[in-house]
Amino acid sequence: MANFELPNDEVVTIPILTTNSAGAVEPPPAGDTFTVTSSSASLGVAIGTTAAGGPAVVMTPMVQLSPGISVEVKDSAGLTAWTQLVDIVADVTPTNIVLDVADATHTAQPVPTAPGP
Amino acid sequence: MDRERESPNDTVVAGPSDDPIIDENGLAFRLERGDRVTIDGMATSDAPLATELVYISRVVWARDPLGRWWPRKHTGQWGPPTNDSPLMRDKLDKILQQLAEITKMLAMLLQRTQGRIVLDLQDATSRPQPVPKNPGP
Repeated sequence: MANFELPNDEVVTIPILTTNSAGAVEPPPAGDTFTVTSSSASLGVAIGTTAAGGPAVVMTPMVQLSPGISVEVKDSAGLTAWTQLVDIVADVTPTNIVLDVADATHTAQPVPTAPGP
Repeated sequence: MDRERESPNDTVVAGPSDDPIIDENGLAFRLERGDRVTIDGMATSDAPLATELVYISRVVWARDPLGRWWPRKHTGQWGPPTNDSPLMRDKLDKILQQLAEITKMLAMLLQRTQGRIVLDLQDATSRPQPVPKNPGP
């Protein structure tokens, strides 16, 4: 499975599901509670909830770049744990237009004759 | 009635068995839920249906819709039912209840050993945060 790429300017919420031996999604056992751990302090992890109220893992990047972080999700019922590799990456998706004033360059021209409004 | 055979070491099985039951006369037979517990001399239409089955060693007890348990004798005949023996009926009801609980526990154990936790990456949602100042390791 490919690593999950997490842009460093996003906090992501990922739903936790439970499946039976055949791989079909089933509700977790009654009273089941989940725990999550991160192999690196570069990625903060916690158990949260989805908008629908289901269990979820919330991942918060703490650094700008950090590849190969292992996130493990366990539960109190002893289901087979899930391990997810996460890469914290720079967000390369453009969303805004900005003018780079600091890097502007100048060329000379004659002074315009119009004095201005 | 075969009470003397119901020692704690007897094998107890509920429900239809995969293999035919061999009685002490070497006679193989199979009984499923819904089969009629037919007794010699009783018209078929009057024979009770087996709603539950419990095998204690090689003795089959079939429960009819009225909750009576019918033992299958070594001769292949059925009866008499346990309506005259509340203690025996309660004992068989308790065995059936315990077997149901064991079945439930085994199902839970199977779920524990073979069920998995999955992160649903497809349905992940995100919200913006400021880029961390720490460049990373």
